[in-house]
Amino acid sequence: MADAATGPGQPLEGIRVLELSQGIQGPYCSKLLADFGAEVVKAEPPGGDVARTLGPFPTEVADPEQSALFLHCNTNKRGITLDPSTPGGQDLLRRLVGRADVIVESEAPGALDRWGVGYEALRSINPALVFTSITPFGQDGPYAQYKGEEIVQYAMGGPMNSTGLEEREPVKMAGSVISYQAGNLAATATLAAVLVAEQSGEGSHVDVSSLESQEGSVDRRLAFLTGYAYNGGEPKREGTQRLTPAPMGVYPCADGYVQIITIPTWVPRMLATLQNEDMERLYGDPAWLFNPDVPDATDEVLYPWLVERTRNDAMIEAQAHSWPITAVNTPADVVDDVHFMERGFLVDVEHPVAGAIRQPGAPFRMADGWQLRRPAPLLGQHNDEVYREELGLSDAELADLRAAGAI
Amino acid sequence: MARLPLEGVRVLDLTVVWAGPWCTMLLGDLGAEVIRLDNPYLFPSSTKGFAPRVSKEMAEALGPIVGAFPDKDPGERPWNRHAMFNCHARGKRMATVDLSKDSGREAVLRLVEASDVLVENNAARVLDKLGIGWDVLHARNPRFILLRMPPMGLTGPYHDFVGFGAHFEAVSGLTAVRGYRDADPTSTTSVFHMDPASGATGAFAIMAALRRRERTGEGCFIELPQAENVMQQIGELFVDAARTGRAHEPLGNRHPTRAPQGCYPCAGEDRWAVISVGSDQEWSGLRKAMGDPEWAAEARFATAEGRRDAHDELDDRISSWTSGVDPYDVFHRCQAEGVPAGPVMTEADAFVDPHLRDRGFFRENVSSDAGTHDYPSHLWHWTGPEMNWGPIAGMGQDNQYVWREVAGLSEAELEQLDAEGHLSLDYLAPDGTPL
Repeated sequence: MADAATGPGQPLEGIRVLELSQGIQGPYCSKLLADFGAEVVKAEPPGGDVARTLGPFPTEVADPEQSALFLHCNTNKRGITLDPSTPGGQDLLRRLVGRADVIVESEAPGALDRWGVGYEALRSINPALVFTSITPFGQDGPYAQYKGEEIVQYAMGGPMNSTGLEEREPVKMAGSVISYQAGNLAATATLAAVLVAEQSGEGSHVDVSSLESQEGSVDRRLAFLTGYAYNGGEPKREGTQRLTPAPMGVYPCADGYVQIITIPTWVPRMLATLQNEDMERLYGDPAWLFNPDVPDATDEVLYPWLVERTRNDAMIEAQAHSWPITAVNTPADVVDDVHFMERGFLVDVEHPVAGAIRQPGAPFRMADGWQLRRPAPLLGQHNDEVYREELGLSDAELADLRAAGAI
Repeated sequence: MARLPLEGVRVLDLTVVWAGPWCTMLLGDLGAEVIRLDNPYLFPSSTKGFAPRVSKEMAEALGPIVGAFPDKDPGERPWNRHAMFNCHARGKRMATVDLSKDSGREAVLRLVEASDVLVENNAARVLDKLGIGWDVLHARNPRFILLRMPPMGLTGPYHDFVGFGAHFEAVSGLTAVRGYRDADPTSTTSVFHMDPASGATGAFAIMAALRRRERTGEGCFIELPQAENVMQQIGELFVDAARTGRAHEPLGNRHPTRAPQGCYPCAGEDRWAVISVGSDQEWSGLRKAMGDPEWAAEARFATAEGRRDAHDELDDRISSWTSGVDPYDVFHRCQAEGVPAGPVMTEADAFVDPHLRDRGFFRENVSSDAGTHDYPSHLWHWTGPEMNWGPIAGMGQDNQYVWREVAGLSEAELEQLDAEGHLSLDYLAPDGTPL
């Protein structure tokens, strides 16, 4: 594996990013930039990015160099330590900004201003600077200083009110996908702002609010809000109730579960797959859409068909007729799945502490695109390289900064 | 004076359902001229509603979402009035062409010569079947950028599988770790998070390719397998599964380390608030927000481990507090004490939420067929050039502009295109009569 800071020939080659962010949103944003060629320096507080404490870990030991979340979100970055709340840290920050095109940060709004390193202060050093702030509620507005969390951003921003079963509490999404999505959009916004700066020399402050990234998300909420504006209708938690009487939802099969959705135009594909005379008759009447007997009568045929098949067999047989059925796989199933193995979705990485691990590869493929040039950095791994070799600090200066807790 | 980053970039849009159209919406917001091409003989189900013709009675029966028309009235042209389409259609030019005919294909190739980008998210087999695969487009325009977003990629045993985002979230490992932690997996409902994940990354990919073109002079082909993109968003579970073989299960509303965390019933019908405690300090904050009840003073709740062990009990206790309180009061009381919390916002809540209003999140727009409404607006703020906010056009509305001015067709060629049935404001039966 080449240990290069930037990717020669990669599409984002030459973009220098300073990341002052922890957790998922900011780090995933700059990971996308780094994976496609940007040169990212990740500045962690001396105690380390909180993602180092979150795991999952391979054993019971919470080794900060072994957190899967940290390893995943910080590929291709060099790591330094820096405490922006100390005067020494702020001085270093100002010197680093002179060498950066992009800052990615996720402090509470105003925090960096109070430390003298907010957008207004830094743009006077570098007018083309793109300064991306990713926060739960954005830089202004009544909730700006409120705290966010994955579940809070989905509850307020997403369609959590209509996700889940009618008789139960609303339920959140998988893992931390809402946080990732804020980082994903922030990467898009940041790259857009970089293109502006490269054309015009004018930087900008990019204000990504995780709340708004959900309110405007096309996973239902955008359509639901528009629908509400159109006719005052609000979606409810319908649970497993179907949109039409045709099969929709998660169904049991021989060795697990499958996902099925059958919109009306897909009914002939279902019939071609099931090859059942009762079903042909049932759906042969165009009024099936309004026939209350259809769901139960369908289940009587569908359940036995599924129980005779594994989730992969059901998927392959139905897809041969373009009837959308897919297997419900756990992440561990995916690791050994023929499709993802053949495509090489997971790539092998050698990490100095975690050893030989496998990580997700490219989110998209293009000429000179995604590369894994280096694994996630150890805490402070590149302090010498960045502070001594690039900023030209002396041993004595470095020792003073260490003693003051700035790095 | 800075310009929008994609000003002067022309994007052809052959997208369906949500992921693709939301991607081109982002590109349009950033200054691209987006030209959406619809085939008037092929109603794209689940893109502009579920059927081209819907009676008023049917729209009523379909409920507020599937029948999401203004005032529940499908109107003269229902496909131009559906919320699931109009929500991402702002600012796009709308043209029609039947790509299954040679004359339609040739007309589109003329557009390709005058454009920069094509975005599509159809089933993997569609583009080559239409005769407009990468080799063809690249030969017509060497600087062209093609973004394809097939759900499973263009290679591998599942490459031609079809379905919605929910199907591919299942096969990719997301569905198995989502839903209630104490319920049968068959109770897991369908969500479509893959769509916004693809849309955002798609726009990122286009800009990366444009930057590369600026430096090399070359266009390029981008394959964005939507599954492999959304799988990044649970990437830590793949790292973990690959090295430990652990079988991950749904956590419901809980968190691997934070406790208590949950969704709690509030005063009113179907009203809820979420609360998440991640430190001893936040636990003392929650105690204060609840009015310092005696039960919460117990020493076993004072540590993270103790709170995790007693999670069920804490959920009951917290519910007994929240159930008498308005969700917005839970929100403000908790946040005042530094505890992450929030109301489960309904659509009605969002429209009157003081924060969203203060930030100008909702913005008026006009649709040719649906009238004037407030819509959710841009996905972020910035101090850069003002992002585009264009009106919502109906199908085929820009045919004259697109085919005459952009593709550069002569009067005679345009007449020919019309005579062959490519240009329409309506969906058409095979014989050319409006449906």
